[in-house]
Amino acid sequence: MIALWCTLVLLLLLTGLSLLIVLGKALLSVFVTQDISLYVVLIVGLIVTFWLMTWFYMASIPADTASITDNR
Amino acid sequence: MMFPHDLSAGLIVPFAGVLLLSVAILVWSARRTRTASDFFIAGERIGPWQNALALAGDFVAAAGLLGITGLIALYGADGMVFAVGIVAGWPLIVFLFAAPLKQLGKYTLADVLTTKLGDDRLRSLVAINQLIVALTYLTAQFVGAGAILHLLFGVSETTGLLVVAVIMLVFMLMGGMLAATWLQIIKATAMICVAMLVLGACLARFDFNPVSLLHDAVSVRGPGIMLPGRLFQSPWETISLLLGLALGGASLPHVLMRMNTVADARTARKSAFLATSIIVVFHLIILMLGFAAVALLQPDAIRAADPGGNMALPLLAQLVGGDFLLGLVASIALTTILAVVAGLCISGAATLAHDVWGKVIRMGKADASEELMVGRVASMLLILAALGTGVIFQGQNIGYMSAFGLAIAASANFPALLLAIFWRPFTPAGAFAGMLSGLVLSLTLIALSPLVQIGVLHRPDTIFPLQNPGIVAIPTAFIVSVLVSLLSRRHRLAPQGL
Repeated sequence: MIALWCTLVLLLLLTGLSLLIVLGKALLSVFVTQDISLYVVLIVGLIVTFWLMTWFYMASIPADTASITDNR
Repeated sequence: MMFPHDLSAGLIVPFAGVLLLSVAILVWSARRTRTASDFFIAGERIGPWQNALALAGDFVAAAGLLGITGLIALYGADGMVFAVGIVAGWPLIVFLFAAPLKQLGKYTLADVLTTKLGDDRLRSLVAINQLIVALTYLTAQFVGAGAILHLLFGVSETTGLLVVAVIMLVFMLMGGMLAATWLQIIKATAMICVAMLVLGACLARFDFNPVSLLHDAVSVRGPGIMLPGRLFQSPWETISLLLGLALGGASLPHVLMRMNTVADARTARKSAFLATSIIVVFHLIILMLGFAAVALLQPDAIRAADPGGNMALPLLAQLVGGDFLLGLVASIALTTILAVVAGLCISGAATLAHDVWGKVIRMGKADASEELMVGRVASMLLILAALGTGVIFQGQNIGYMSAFGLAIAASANFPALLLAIFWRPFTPAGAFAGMLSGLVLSLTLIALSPLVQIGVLHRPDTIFPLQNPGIVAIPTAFIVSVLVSLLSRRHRLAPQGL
């Protein structure tokens, strides 16, 4: 089930970002300096999070397992 | 700042170098391509690092290299959202598809679905889906290549398209997957090196301090460049784009097919993970390059070179490294397009030769050499078809055109592939209905989108307001697949899979 949970989290993160971009402009505008903004930090953080999720998934399953949820 | 329509040595040397390298790969791989397995999946003898670089090369096309840099250069942080969508497709491949696809050991998506669901009648529809996805994606690559040749050498975009088509015809008829894979490996490595080189040259102007670069970007264009709202106004447009990029990227036929070029399931998953790492690093570099373009280039100069902003990176390279760096960036961008076209053509050729010719027309009686011959002819036909559609769509934004191909793949392929692997009650009837609804709906909405209605047909208004059909077509395909599967469960054929 871990693959499906990871997928669900990833899709929720994407949806959350989409809603935040358009509906949360005021929130994202709270933190913006001459050098950086919350928006930029959030996007870079999301890209790194995707990589960490992949690393976590690779580390959490047996190396020679094709798919732990493949039930056919 | 002008593009060198009068050719300088600094521009010619990298182009000649890339061309000679491609010819060397072609000759080398032609000697090793003898069987259908060699042509379609490189004889399953590609290692994990090699496959990871080839996968990364397949995925990071001109739309990423030129498009994202240009979007950030013109619209600021909103352009970064495209990078999020493209990167998000990779974890999905690792989580869901890499190992199961390799374990099935099939050439094409049609093989995977028919094996999993036990109904060979799905093959024709899957083949049509794949061909449309390949053709849409190919068209975007052709338009990009034509634009690069036009901007750099002053030839017409149609001439540029013809040149690319001829190069690819020769390349595909002789090389096959082995040539495409090695071209991707070399291109991906070169692309990362060149991107780092340009970034290093940019950072040298800021005492190698990235914060100083960002500071200057804000000073030049104001704090608004770091905030949302310049590119996306509707949450539906943003969600639709991100879903299309992520789910479409995870179900592109030519990317999934690369899972079969390695020896086993473990290597397939490992190579997908390594590819994810390469793609993440590459996109972080691209984001910095975008802000370097904000700090160092004027928006008017970028728009003058190309209204879509696609020439921001070449302009930046020319500013910080002269004609030689410009030549390097341009040749790598062009090789990127050629390599992606090669991978797409192999995938499309495999579909036509193996699924349509071998399984439907010849009903399993075609031998490997016959499929190989049909595959080569199919490559030629696909390239000619893409040349025709490329002429029709020339002048359009290649980033949005690539997103069309991804949206079709996400609507027509992703639900069927996901449900076939993870949902036991999924039936052939559900797969057929889901794929058909996803394909028809995504194509219809693309035809009604602003890019086609206003950009191509020059109509004053459009019926469907979104550029990307993902938010409507993907859920519809899922719902139709599930409903029809539940209704037809009693009549489901016994599975023959794993």
